Amino acid sequence: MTSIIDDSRPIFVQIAQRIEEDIIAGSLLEETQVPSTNQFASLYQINPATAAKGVNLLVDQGILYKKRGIGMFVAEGARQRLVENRKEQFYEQYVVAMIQEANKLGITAEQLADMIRRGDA
Amino acid sequence: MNAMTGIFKIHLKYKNYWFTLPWCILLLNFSINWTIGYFFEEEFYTGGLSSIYVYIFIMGTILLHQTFPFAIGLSIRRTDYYWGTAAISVIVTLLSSILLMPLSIIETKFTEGWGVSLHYFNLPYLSDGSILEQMWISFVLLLFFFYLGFVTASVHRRYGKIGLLLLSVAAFLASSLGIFLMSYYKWWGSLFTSMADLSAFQIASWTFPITLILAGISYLLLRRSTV
Amino acid sequence: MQSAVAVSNLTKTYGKVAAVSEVSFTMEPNKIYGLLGRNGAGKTTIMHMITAQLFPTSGELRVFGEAPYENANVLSQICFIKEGQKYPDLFRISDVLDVAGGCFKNWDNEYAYSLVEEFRLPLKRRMKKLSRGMLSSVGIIIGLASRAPLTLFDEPYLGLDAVARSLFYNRLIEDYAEHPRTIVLSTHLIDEVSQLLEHVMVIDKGRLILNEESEMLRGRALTVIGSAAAVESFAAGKEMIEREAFGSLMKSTVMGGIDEDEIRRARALGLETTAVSLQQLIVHLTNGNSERGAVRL
Repeated sequence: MTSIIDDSRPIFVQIAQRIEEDIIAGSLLEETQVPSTNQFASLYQINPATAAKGVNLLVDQGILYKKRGIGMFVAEGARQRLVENRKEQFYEQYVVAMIQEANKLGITAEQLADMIRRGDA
Repeated sequence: MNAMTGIFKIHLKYKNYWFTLPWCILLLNFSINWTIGYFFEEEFYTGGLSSIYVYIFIMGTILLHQTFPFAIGLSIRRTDYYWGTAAISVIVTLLSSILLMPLSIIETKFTEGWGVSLHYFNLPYLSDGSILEQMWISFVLLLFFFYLGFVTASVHRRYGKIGLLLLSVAAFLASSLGIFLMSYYKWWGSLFTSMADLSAFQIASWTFPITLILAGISYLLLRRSTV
Repeated sequence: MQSAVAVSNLTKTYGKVAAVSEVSFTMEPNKIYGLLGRNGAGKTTIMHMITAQLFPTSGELRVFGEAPYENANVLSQICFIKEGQKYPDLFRISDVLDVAGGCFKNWDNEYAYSLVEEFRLPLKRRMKKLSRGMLSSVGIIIGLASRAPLTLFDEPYLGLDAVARSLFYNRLIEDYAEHPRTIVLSTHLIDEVSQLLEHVMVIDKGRLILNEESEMLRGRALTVIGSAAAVESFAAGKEMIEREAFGSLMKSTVMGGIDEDEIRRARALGLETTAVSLQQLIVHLTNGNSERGAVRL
């Protein structure tokens, strides 16, 4: 079956993340409609209630909002807020881990900065 | 939607087995007997008509086995299955007995034994009495044989092969004991004299309460049957 | 809200053998339930009792608030598709669908026939001439097209290939989304259906050992591999549902309190970590070498 969903976390979290990704990447623009929960359900072959839970998670965070009788829409400023959150997570997940590993290998902050510049080029 | 719709639909699929097939068998049997009668100089009596009674007995046994698990599987109530089947069996036996009647009249009144002195549908003793009495005889006998088969299948459904086996053993022992007692007390003679006084109509009528008892037993068995 | 199914202390014994013992649960309306467990665990027996095809030895049983036995009101709302369903020998697929159409009040004939096309079934072939997979497809079509408020599928896809199974999952999800109803899926092919299930019940040796929302089960167990000492230290205070030692290495599956911090802690201890699928979790819970009662999470 579709392996887009992995076993390590609840599916609704993964659905919410997928929508976030699409908003950050710009494939879901602000003030546009997101697919319905039933569409998500058939797309990923998941239970519609689970898809709804993922969407509602984003509604609770103000990323999506509901237009009565029409469906779910991306809120204004949603992308900006998601990017901010992501930067925070980026620091925790990547930078902190990188510095830990660098310390283990005896890489100095200067050398690390060099490496980043080289990687970016 | 009526609760009976499902069970009637099942039985309608069996219309050939309820009707066409037994009458084809009867027709085939009749034509064989007619051919024999054609070459036979004298009056020819045959019990070929019994094929329809044998058929309805077999129908009673097979029908339950074929349709009950399917009906229960489609969420049909046991009660609805039972009454739906009862209704169909009464309709079919009634129609068959009505159809047999004119054949008996043609045989005796119009064709002198189908032109070959064949006694097939009209038999001495069995076909005594009025037209209505004759129809009643074939109706109750057909119904009796149907329920005899149906109750046998119900025992099998409810208690499995072992139940059916025990029932046959019990029936065998009971009849052996009955025959023994009849012989021991020399009752056979008086039985036959009293039987001889009874008409076919009276004897056939006696099967009717027995049929009702068999039908009641199969109802109780099916209510507790599983699939 | 009125529950779809409510059983308490449901028991079925054959002589001295208990096929189902003291099972209690409720099923809420309009959810998809997974009734999981090994073959012979008692799943089929439970479903036979819910649908009044089999009689409980003891216990309480309510379907839509009423006892189902000979209850037209309840039975008319149930569709039970079972693996060993018998069909009359002379019936063709079209006959079976016709009769089924007369039994279920929400039956959608057009939908049934569109599914016949999709599953590529020979409408005029007799039931006894069908292959195992075709028989399964007929059952699936009846189960979907009946749109019964309580629909139970018992191992519905024996003999079906991956394409047909996938078709079943797709149609089930679509039709369920449009016509919500209570669906019970009984199977041992757990990985294939785990994403469809809203709630999971695991039956083992006639007992209910797990009754949980399936989302709650995801990520609740973790398999770690590494040095025995590190594994032991990580597993301390958790329930170990599997352990295997290879020399100084150890593989263990633990449950309880697993979150991202714990996964990070495991990695810091030098352990390799793998997520545990629902199927693996249930295999561990029902593999017979542990005499556990209800599972604690």
